[in-house]
Amino acid sequence: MEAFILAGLQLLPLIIEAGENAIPLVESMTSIFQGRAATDADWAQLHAIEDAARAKLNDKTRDVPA
Amino acid sequence: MKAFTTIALISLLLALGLAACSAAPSPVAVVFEARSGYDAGPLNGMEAYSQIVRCPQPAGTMCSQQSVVDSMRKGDASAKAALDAAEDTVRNQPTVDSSFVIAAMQNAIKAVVAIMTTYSIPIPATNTTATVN
Repeated sequence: MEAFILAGLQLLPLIIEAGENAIPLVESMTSIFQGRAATDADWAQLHAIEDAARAKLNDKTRDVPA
Repeated sequence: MKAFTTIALISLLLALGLAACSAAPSPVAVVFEARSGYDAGPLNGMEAYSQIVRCPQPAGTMCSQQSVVDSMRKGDASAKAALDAAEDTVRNQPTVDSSFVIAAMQNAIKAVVAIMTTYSIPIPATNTTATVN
């Protein structure tokens, strides 16, 4: 359990950096929830950011064989 | 006096109407918010974790467990399918009741959050109002 907590603390800088990458998305989202309707461009931006993140998540270069 | 009362009544009704609108966002807005929140939060956290070198590593070196990464990938694949289904419904089939696909989407996101919580993987906080209940 302590190892997990330690890992979580060590991850914080990475998480903060990842969160900063999402700032444009959050700004767009905030605007939409202040009354602006989501446009096709908003969805496209969302998909682009999501696809980039998913590509990194599914990147196998660091994987170890089962 | 009657005019004042009428104006006050209309203002009150307008305010109530606006409050009702703000209390119930459209299905499109709900899905956009959920998808944005998922991308900015859990997906970013999973991405960051998966980018760390895999364990085992020398003591004191940060590493990620392959089994955890595998679990997160499966959870994300499920979440993506649910998000896609919900988005397709609210954007392309506006006359269809979207409550079920939205519920499925929220459950899939909850599953991902549960995986991350189990392994104490931080989820980036955003200033979104997105919540997963």
